[in-house]
Amino acid sequence: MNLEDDILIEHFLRNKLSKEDKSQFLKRIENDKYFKEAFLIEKQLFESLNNEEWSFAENINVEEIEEYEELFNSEETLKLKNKIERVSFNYKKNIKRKRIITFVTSIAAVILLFVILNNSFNSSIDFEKIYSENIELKKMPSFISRGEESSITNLIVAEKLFKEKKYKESVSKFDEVLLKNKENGSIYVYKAIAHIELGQYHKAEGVLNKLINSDLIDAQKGYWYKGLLFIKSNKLEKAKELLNMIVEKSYFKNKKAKKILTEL
Amino acid sequence: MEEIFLKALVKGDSKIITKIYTISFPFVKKFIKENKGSTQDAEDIFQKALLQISVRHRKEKINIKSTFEGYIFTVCKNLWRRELNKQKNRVTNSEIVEHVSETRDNSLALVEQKRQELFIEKLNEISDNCRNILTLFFAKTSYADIVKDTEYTSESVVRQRVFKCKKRLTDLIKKDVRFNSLKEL
Repeated sequence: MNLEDDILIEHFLRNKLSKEDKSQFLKRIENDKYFKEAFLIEKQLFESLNNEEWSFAENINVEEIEEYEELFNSEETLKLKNKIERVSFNYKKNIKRKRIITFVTSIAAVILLFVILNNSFNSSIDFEKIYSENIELKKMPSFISRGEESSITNLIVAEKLFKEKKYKESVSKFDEVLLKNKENGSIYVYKAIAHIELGQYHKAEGVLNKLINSDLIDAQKGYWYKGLLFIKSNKLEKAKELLNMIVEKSYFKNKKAKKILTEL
Repeated sequence: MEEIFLKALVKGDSKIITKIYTISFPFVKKFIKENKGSTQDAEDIFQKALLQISVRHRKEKINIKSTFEGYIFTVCKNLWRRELNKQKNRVTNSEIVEHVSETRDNSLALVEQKRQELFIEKLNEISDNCRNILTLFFAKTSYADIVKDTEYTSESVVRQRVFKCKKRLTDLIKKDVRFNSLKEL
């Protein structure tokens, strides 16, 4: 075959021939055996070696095709077909099961996460409850009956502000009192609680530490309120540690501390 | 290992066939889904491929040169290429398409697969230079672009080269006895 014919075949396969040239081309294929052979092999190559096309067997020796057909129709092949279908079914079932397990595991993980989050949320509510049940603001010792001296007057004002929940103002008043009177443990307690109510946990802890480190009879009360402070501020481990110590040393409110520990 | 898989397909060993599914099916499914197909298409093609390999091995013993996974993937890829072109022909051809039985169609697909393998085998036997230029040519790359991609200086030089390389390839194919039963008449 010459280059000219090769170009002609290529143009036909790439659909570049005019209508007239195309019909001439097809006529030549019918009459020229060698040209047809060259065309067919080029067509097969062109379709086979191009990923977007496929070379279909259109007119080949049927003998081989029939031999394969017989094998495809054989009982062995039919049995194999059934087996493959069963394997495929089981494979899909397994994949589905795995997907369900993955799905259920994911759901379980989400639920667990939800429970954990919910618990911790609930815990914060419980912490709040424990704190408010145990802080017993109404049972706080009153300074009113203690006389009418000026320092006491300030103390009463501070207490009054405290009871009116004006914690910021009460803290200022307690500070004034503490400048003159450092011998009353309850003042520390009041001031610390006012700080707690204001969310000033760090300041509250500082005040309670002063009480704990003092020589006052009420010093051990500091541990109890510090325990409540830790509960309020969600410092569970620290709270437990402190409450355990209160129980062990039978400090102020040790029974309540024991009860809270069971709740925690 | 390839022989174990082939024998399992001939014998219908469910355990090994399951293994074949586990190893190869995900790749085939991914390929088909990325190429206009569905999971159902992938399942049908995979089953056809397994049957094709089994029938062919029973008749003439397949000699797998790569891995079994690689081979089954190629067969599936070609079966899917065939299916897509069948659909394309159905749409573009106004002529009545002759209806063939499933087993006849499977047999035709098998022969076409063999022809494809023969062409690739022969393409790998010619020089690297010829293989490269023909690969570009059959991928419908224009002569102008082949000039750009290669060291050839002009389109006419490329055309001459393609002509010579194609002749080498077709001579090799025609010389091979296997082509006698595969060629179009």
